[in-house]
Amino acid sequence: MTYIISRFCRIAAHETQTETLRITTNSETFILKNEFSDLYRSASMEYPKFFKMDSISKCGILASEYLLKGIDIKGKYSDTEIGIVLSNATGSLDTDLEFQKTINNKTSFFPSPAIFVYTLSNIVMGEICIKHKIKGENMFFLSETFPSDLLQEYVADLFQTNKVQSAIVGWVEYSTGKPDVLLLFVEKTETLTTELEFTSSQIASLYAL
Amino acid sequence: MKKPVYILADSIVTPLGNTTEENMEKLYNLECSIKSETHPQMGTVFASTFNPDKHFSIENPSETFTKIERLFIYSIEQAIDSLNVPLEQSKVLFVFASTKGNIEFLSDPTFDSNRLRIGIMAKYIAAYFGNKNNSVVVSNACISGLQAIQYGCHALQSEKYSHVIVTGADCVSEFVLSGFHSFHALSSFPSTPFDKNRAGVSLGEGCGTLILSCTPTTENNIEIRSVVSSNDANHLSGPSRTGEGLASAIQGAMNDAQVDYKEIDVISAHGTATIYNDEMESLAFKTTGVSNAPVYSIKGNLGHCLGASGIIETIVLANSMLADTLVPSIGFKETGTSVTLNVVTKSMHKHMRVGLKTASGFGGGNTALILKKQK
Repeated sequence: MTYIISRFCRIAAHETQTETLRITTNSETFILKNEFSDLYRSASMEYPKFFKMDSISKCGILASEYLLKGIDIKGKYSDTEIGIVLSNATGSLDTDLEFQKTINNKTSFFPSPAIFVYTLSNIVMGEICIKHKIKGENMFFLSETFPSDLLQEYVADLFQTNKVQSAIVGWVEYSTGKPDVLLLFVEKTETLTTELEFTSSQIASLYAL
Repeated sequence: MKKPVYILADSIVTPLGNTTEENMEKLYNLECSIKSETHPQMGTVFASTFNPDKHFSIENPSETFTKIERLFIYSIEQAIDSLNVPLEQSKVLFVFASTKGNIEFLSDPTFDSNRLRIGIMAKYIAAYFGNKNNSVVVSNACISGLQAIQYGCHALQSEKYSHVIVTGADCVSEFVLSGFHSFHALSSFPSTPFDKNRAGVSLGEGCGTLILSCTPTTENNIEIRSVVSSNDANHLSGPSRTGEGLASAIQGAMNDAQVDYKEIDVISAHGTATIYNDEMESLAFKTTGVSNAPVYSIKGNLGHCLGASGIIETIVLANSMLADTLVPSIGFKETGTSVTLNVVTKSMHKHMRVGLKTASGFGGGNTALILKKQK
């Protein structure tokens, strides 16, 4: 059995044009202004909850939209057959700082429940699960650098032990105003043809896009 | 075929007790470390916290470690000391679980902000033990602890390591207390899981450490038969109303462990004592056929230790199975869930072979773990 990356989506800061992002999927590459409203429009989704989310969840939801656009994963897999394994470096630190502002001032001490719910590393994963009704194995790793070996080995094991039949795998990082995302949709196949194989080096090279 | 994974050694450090043994004794005796504290803005809050002057005396205190870092090191040293075989660090992997790490320093400008990253904090701790392997850090809200064990089992089965040290800690901070307070999720008395009059969660702090290996040291080592996770895909901060997600994890864990629901001798529940969590769990236990098994939660004794809770509770379950003594659920008086559960009210002898541990968390995650005695 071979595991393939049947779709991917990379969102990263543009190397030369600051203020813009480069978005690369298996079918196209485009450049957009680093504004969530622009990204939302370009993903052509209708999901009002998006505007209540913290930045990292917005990044994850947008990437998952680009990733799964136009394919019917539910036609192929039941909810519990789809797993999700994500990672990042800073957890929810960007939103932690936002929440801290609501409790710093002791004379206006109003901790915000709407922000607090986002102060956990895995909430972006929860948002993606809700949006796409993904109910299988889920895992969130914190890693200082993009952990291609960790992701590959753990996800391959989930496949080999029959815990998942497909999986969303990747990295969703947001700090200092910049998204840094790679999402993969991984499936299995009997024989490898033209697809990208789900190997550590392949994942690393997609992250380098 | 998967290789079996065994628990070789453990350590629990909480405000209730300094060691696994001390915590077990106090849990059997229905003792509780949740106390009231007065906060200038939030008023009276209940939490299980270490005395401010509590010193976690570690063997080599040369570096400046924060409270949670010392707690981790103290507990890991304790677990290693109780292990009766030497560890070769090159063959050891550290797996960490924490939801908030050093969060209490978030607004402290003098604090090295890198250490707010749990991954970097973990590196410091592994380095203290001279371990050079890339530590793995799991942060998946309240299921972090069980998922760190899940990862630990995976790592051992890959045969790259002889031992995996799984350790989880979280501390009570103004950050987390005020967040739960803003949700109106905190109980105005020490939490009473599964009771009719339960009124929310009490937070706690502590650390649990497990040393796992595929090579048992005695025939008393408890086996981790399976760990399976799922997601509700329903709501970020509330459990599913049906318990479907947790039921799917429990069913998956039973299938994976090749254990029938009738074989479950005891359940260590998540039991946060919020209205919705305990109700949801009772439904999931019914769906999976295990609702007649004796069930308890220790969150009424220790509070909810977030990322540490799954590890601490797994250690308590394993030790109670070895002692064939059920752990009682503090504060339970009257059934308060739509499915009547067999809640343990006092510690008693029971022969136990198979135990189930469950957890659910913010973000919709659920994990179920099954322990089994070798004999």
